[in-house]
Amino acid sequence: MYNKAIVFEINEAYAIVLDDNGNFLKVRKKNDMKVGQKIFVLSEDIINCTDESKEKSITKTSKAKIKRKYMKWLYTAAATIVVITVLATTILRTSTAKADSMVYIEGSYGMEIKVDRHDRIKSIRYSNISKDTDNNTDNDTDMDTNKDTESGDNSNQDKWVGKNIDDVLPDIIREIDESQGEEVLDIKYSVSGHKEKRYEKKIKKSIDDYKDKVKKDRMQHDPMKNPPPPDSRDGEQEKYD
Amino acid sequence: METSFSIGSSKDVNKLIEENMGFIIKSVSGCTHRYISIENDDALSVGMMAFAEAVQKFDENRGNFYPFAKLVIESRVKSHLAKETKYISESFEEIEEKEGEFASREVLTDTDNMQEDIDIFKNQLELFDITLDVLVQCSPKHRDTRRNAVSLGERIAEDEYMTGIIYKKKKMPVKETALRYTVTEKFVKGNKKFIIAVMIVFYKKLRSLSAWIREAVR
Repeated sequence: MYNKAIVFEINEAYAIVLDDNGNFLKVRKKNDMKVGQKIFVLSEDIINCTDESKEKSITKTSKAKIKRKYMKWLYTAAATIVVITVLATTILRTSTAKADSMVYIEGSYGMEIKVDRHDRIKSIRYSNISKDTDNNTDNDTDMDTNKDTESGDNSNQDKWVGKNIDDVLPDIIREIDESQGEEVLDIKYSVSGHKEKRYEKKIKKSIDDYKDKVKKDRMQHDPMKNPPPPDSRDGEQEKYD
Repeated sequence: METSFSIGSSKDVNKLIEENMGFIIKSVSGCTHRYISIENDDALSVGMMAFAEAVQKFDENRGNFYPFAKLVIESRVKSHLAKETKYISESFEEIEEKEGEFASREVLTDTDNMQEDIDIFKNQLELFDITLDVLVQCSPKHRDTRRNAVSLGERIAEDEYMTGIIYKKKKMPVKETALRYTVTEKFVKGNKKFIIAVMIVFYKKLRSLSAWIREAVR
């Protein structure tokens, strides 16, 4: 079966012709084709549009099937993620409810204070890291070990448990420094948890207040450590000269 | 197509060629890897002569005719192509010498005229946002529908009022066309792009194309 046709357009993969029945047809591209050329077209040269559309519809259906299949997995995965997220959040909330923040203050020894979300001290754990024992190889172990029984000040810490940390911070700092027993106050601290910045501010303020207070006390009680005004010192120097 | 070929004495070779034209075209096209041109295709002439030769030389006791005929056609066409290539390379120098003479002559062939018509046709189609690919999809599949669509397109092309509206709106007013030419709205709506294409051919007086379309639906 063959038809006569005029070549109307030559594309990269196919050509469009108008056959002698008045049909516009897509045909296979062959060598030496020219627009306007009248050619014989065989039935096997025609690219059947109905087949193309059928193929398209088949691919569409199969694509839809694949899509549906994948969507099932996608929904399952999404649901699993949601469940895991909810569970994780709940677990995290319950765990953080026990201790909202962790305050670590280090002077002559370290204090690990667990504070709940209402600023109440839940527990105190401390480790002996006095500067005298800095070279001790067991230092790290000491920090991690609960030393409640070793310190002998267990009663002091117990009295702070349940109290508001803001109220007892000055006492805690004094306790740590007094144990240190040095002239230069060197108190380090670190905070982790929800109210990190607030506690840091509070501790810093408490330390500063305490430092001022100690300086004043020392100046009052120990005149040797209280340097004379610069003028009088110069005068003394002149005397020696 | 017959599976076995019997050369009846009543059938002359010309009639056999006419009846087996599809086979001859397929054999020649398969050999040349190109479409056979309707006008002046040497390969087709060679193929037809080879077919006639095969008819004359065929011995019924040797098996089927068509594989034999195909062999003869392919053999003759291949040797023709080989000769043609040789001739072209030999006469190339002579052509170059006569280049000036050829250049001065501008001969417009039928294909050139057709090409011009097709260019105009495609440009006009663009005005209506129609491509040839769209026409492939939208052409009426049924012969009678196609004939009616061509007839309507031709009538619209002669109607200045309608062509004015269509060119102004860049689309076909379905209701108005249906009322004016007493056809169903469904018919106009379903074939409007093909009708516009036919209208363009006749309205722009694209002679080569209009002759082809008239012949097609006759």
